[in-house]
Amino acid sequence: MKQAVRMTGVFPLAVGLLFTVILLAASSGSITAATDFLTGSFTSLYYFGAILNTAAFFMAAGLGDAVLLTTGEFNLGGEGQIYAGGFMTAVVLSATTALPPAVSLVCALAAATVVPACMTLISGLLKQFKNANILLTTFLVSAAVIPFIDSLIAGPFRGPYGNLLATPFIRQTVRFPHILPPSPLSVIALTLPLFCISGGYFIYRTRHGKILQITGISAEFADYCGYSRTKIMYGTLAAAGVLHGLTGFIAVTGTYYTCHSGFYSGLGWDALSCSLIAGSNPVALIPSSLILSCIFTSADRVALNYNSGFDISALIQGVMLSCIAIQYAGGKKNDRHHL
Amino acid sequence: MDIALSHVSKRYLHKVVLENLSVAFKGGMIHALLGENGAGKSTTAAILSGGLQYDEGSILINGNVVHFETPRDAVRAGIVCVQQRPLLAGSISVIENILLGSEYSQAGKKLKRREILQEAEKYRQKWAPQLDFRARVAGTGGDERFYTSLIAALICRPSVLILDEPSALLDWEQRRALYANIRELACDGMNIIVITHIMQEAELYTDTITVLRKGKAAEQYDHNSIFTGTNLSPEKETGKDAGSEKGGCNKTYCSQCGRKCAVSFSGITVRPKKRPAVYDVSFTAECGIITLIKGLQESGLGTLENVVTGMETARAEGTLTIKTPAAHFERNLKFKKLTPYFLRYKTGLRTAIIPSDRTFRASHPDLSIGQLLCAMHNGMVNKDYSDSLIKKAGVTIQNEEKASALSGGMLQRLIQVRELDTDPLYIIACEPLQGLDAQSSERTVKQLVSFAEKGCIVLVLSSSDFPDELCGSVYKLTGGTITGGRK
Repeated sequence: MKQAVRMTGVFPLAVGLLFTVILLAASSGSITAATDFLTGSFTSLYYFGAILNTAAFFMAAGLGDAVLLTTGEFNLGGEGQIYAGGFMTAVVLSATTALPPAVSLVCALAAATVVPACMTLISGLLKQFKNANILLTTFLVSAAVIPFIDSLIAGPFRGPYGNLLATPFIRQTVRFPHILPPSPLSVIALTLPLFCISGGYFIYRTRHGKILQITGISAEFADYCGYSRTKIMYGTLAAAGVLHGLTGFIAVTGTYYTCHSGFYSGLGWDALSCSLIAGSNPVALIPSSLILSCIFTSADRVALNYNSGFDISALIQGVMLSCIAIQYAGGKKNDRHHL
Repeated sequence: MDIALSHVSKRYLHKVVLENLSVAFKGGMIHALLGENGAGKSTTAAILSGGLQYDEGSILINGNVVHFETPRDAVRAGIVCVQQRPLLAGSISVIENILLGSEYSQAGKKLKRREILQEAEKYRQKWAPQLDFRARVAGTGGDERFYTSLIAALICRPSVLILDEPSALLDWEQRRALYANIRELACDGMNIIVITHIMQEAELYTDTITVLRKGKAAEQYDHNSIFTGTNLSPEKETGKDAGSEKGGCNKTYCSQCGRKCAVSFSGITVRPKKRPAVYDVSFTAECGIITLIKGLQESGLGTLENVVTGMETARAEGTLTIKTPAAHFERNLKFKKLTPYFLRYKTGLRTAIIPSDRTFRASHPDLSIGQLLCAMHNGMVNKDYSDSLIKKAGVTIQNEEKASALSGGMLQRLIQVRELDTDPLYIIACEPLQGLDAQSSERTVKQLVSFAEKGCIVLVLSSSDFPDELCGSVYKLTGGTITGGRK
């Protein structure tokens, strides 16, 4: 599985890491912050667990992005889909307290995956009937859904917690336990690498995966071969929605135990970064998610400890996405030269 | 400007493309570069124009050794190549494609936008008056893509102009006009190298002929010498005698089923926004014979190709009727689109589709050879199967290599082998001889005749080259309608 080990994002990761170290050293005026950034998270159980937990979110959402990227499309609405998944989980779990926990969880999982899938399918319909760009419509649908959910959380679904804008906490019996206290790492997060490996098998070893790859390389060739591009589009969009919804489900049932306003913040873009760094390869998504999660968690940790500002994560993300774009353009240029 | 290759070798991992090749082209002349598919013609052109690095040897300009790292170096030295498969940006217009990269002319002189536009208009009027500068490249035909690339090349005011198989996408009238224009350039001192498979064309229009044989040796003739010592006769090279021993096929009934099987299109009307329209076109392709539709791209042949292959995006009117012993289909194209999926998998005819655009429709430069050959098997790469197709096509390439590593003729051969290996009952072949050398053309024609004799429905769409005498039914497409024809 040659593709499985090929990571295209070593360059943006290296630049992101270097940039972070320089930025931290410069902002704190000493090399201590930079050193702490590189090693500190691994000396604390809390931060180590947080790295693994965040990486799990990246893997779940990144896998959705990877499936869609394989067919040559972009999903920029990841954040809204994660938010919708998390919100539906919290609402269904609150509404089904009379049901046994397993049934309640199944219902919540179904709602958490179906609603984001419907959001992506709106983009599919707009593409099919109005030839609207999926990249734009996923973003727009998400942009419309986020304030709507915000208003629901602030209004009828708000829990009784004073200033906290959140739904009521889910009951104990439907919570996935934290396995590395005091970190938020839950048992469900550990299953995500298996999802990625399964995704890799699907894309690189199955008939349908091969069709997705060929469609991603050339849509015209896919049409000519007699592949149904409409089915492919709807299938991959639904998969992307389901996996983003799953991220929201994991976040609520395994980490926060409630859906608080804005919990999705940055998750969608970070997951997309992971997917791009991994070259849309689901197996390579495991290391790319771990590394990116490590960088972001460590940066937040240093920001807290050295008072260097929390905007550092956004800066790192910006630098990495820029490097990915540069590398992508460079790759295209090299492709042309080898023709 | 004289240009020469001296003892140049180029090797890939699994094959040697050029070996110790020495060849010279004098300025002020038109030179033809001939050879079979895979002889190294396109590689020679790529090396001369800086698109490919060679392993050994040297390039000489007026006797001085030069080295090109990139095509831009070659442009600065006055060498420009118009590729066989020009890679243009599909989502922008023709003129925007011309503007891209044209700002750097010979010797690094930077041209202003206004100058480029003026030059482009001048060349358009002379070389391709029908070319619409505002048209989006994605909707243009192969000939328009060629002219776009050619005008961009001419704006750079080259001293050496390399044209890689310009005839492949042009009809005879366009070819005549092209050669008349490049003769003027040659008279002004430009060195023009034309890669072609067509010996007649080389004899008629060029001053010297260089024949490459497997990239190992070159023989060069000029028109003052007697063209004898080779095995290349014009008839053989053009494939004109192809299939003559068969005497053609004029059967009307399927030899296998004893019944008349046919695919009929009636009242086909399509009006695409940016391509020539076709009006009320009706024809029938029967089993046991080759049905040929002759026409030019500007007469709507490309649009008709899109309709019959199920690739037309514009709304079509008309009816498709398929009659076979097993089934009878009638589809009103106004209400239900024809798709390759329907043709390939729903009709039971195992339809083989050989489109004229072999680069971006029948394949893609980024596809691996394995993907390219096994795509009809749902993309699952079966190494043994694709190896057997590679062997059948007589091409030297590995499964893992990209389609971009293939020359145009090799790609065409692989596509044909892939399509015809499915034991089809209905074959749609659009410009099937495009880019093929004499041997391959002959083989292709014989193969189509043999499929027809076996009882297949064979529909050929061609702007030139395909021999009429082998076809049981010939239609002519003129001005978007079928005006003539015999049965």
